Amino acid sequence: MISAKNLTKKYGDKTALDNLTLDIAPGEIFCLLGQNGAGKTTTINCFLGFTQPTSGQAFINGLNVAQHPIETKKHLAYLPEVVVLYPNLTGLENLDYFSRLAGFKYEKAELLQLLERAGLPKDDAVRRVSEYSKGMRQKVGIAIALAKKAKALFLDEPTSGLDPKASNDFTHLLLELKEEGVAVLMATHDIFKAKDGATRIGIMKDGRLVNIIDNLRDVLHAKEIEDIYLQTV
Amino acid sequence: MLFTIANQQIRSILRDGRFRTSALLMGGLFLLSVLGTLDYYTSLKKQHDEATATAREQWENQEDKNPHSAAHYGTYVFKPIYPLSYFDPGVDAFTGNTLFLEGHRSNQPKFRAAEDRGAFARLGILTPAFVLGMLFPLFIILLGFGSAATERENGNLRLLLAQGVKPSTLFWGKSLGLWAVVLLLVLPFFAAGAAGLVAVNAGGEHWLRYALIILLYLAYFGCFIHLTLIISAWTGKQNAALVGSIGAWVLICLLTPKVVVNLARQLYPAPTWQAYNDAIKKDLETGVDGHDPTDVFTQKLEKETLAKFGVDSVHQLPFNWDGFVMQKGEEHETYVFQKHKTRLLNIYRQQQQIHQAAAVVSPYILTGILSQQLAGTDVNTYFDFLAAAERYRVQLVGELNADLTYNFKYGDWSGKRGKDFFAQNTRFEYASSPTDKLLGDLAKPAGFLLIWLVVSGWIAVFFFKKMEPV
Repeated sequence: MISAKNLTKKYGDKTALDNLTLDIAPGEIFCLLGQNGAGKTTTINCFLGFTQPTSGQAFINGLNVAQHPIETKKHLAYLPEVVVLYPNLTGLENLDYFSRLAGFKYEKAELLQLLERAGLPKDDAVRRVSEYSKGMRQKVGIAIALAKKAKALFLDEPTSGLDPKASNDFTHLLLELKEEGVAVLMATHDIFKAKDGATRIGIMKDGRLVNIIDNLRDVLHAKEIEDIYLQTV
Repeated sequence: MLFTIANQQIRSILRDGRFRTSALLMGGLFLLSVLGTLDYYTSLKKQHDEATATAREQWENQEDKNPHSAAHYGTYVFKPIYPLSYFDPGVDAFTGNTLFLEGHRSNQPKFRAAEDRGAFARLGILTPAFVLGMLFPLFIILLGFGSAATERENGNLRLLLAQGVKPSTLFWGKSLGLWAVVLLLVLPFFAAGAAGLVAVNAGGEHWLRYALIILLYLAYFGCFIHLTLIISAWTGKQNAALVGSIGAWVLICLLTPKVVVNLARQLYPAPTWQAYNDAIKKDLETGVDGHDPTDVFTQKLEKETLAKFGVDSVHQLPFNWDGFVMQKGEEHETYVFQKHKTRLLNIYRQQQQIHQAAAVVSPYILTGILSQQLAGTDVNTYFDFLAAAERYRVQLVGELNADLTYNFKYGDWSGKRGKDFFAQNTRFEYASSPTDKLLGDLAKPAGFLLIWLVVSGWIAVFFFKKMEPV
């Protein structure tokens, strides 16, 4: 569903992304770990078409992103690290707006349901976003991603700003989506959450995917992943 | 999708405190300008109508006198005050619109409104045209500077593009949203302007002109909507976009108009008032002076005329020599004044050409030119009026001198004409150039404004596409 073939991005002399080859199947959650500047966001940007790769290709549902920038967007949903939205609009109105842009016209009840699934109660949904906390905005962002019913999901530090309970709820939501056959690529710093949710974990360093942990069932403690991570970076 | 984006933009702006404050400010200023200029217009119009009637009445009821003395008595003519001059007073405040007509000399207009108000008037008076042309762009900038830059800076742009929005669609949606907000505010303005036209009881032709003025200002606002969006997308940062847009406003509305006027004056300098009058005086001495029998040119004319009619003395001429020589003198004087006026007019026309050519760089200048032409307060209409007044002067003085020449005996300076004669003298009738001719004059600057609108829109799409969602 999500795949990269020799994906490389260079800025002058600096290589932000070095020959990344990756395949994420439906129902798979792939977590990218790595320090800041390791190339996680560049990877996501290439899949979203925001960054043109220097060489190699990114594919969504078999379509080359560079050649089909609009078509590939229909198959993906994206949740940024910081969801800002429009402060003068309510959470509900924001969700409605972004859904309409993606071509979905939901009834108010459906929108509220989506927000509820993302963890935002109805009372909060009808308040203006200017009164929201970072976590509440993040939940609207999750609802926006859910509303697209996409088969490929890109998450950039999705749990930043969420309290531990909300963060936990989000992991459960991800597992539900996994059951529905969604392919997920998630960049994160949270090794514990990665262990709970991921089917595979990739560790990036200096633009290269240096280590993939795919025997997660055999890993008993997040500590083991942390050790591997620390040795790698 | 277009309307979804526009709708969101409208909602966001309308719920913003900035909109309410600036809309109230704009509305207040516009209403003030309409009321102020309308009041000024109606009192001026009343004065003019009265003065026009009085001038003719005085002419017809002047004391009985010799027809040539009546030419010295003179009369006044007034440039008509058009209904739309309240909307855009144009050059009227600076040129004066009262002209004294008399024999022997061609006068300059008097009673310039700007003279009464001092230097302050040159900064621009609060007129509807000033509010729309100078201040309204600031309102557009205030509402629109963040349209692309804020979205980019706060990350919403990433989310928008990930939802599958095309950058060009984003531009059209944003500009449509800005248009809607601009119309929301400006349509009541135009309605207030129309109420002004009803108040002054304007005729059908002026309604056509007013409709064109509305279209003109909408095209002008369109240029600023595009410009604001270009700068917003180009800089990609709110602060830079605000500073950049205001910089563009200063350049377009304040700097270029001043630079262009100075450039035109430098390239085609007009003579000083002193030099202009001296040159006329010098040329006047090279021809017949009807009041000076010892003048060499008068004596030469006398010899030629006597020879032509085969007589020895002016007494034997079949007409009144006094009237004849007055008319010959008048013709020479008219020729001299005309020559120098034409020369000056040509300098002004050359300056104007520079102004029009340079107008291409500033939609503000283009809009100013078109707005004044439509209001009938542009410099061409003024020159047209002066030319008509001069033709009338030549005709009236010619009538009076002809009467003296053919209906009075030579040396009969005590013979007089009364009311029945003066009442039959030609009246001054002046109609401004008809609207269909006007439309031809408008075509070029209007074309440039349209090019501005289209090209700026095209450039805006380009910068929206280039915008990087960092």
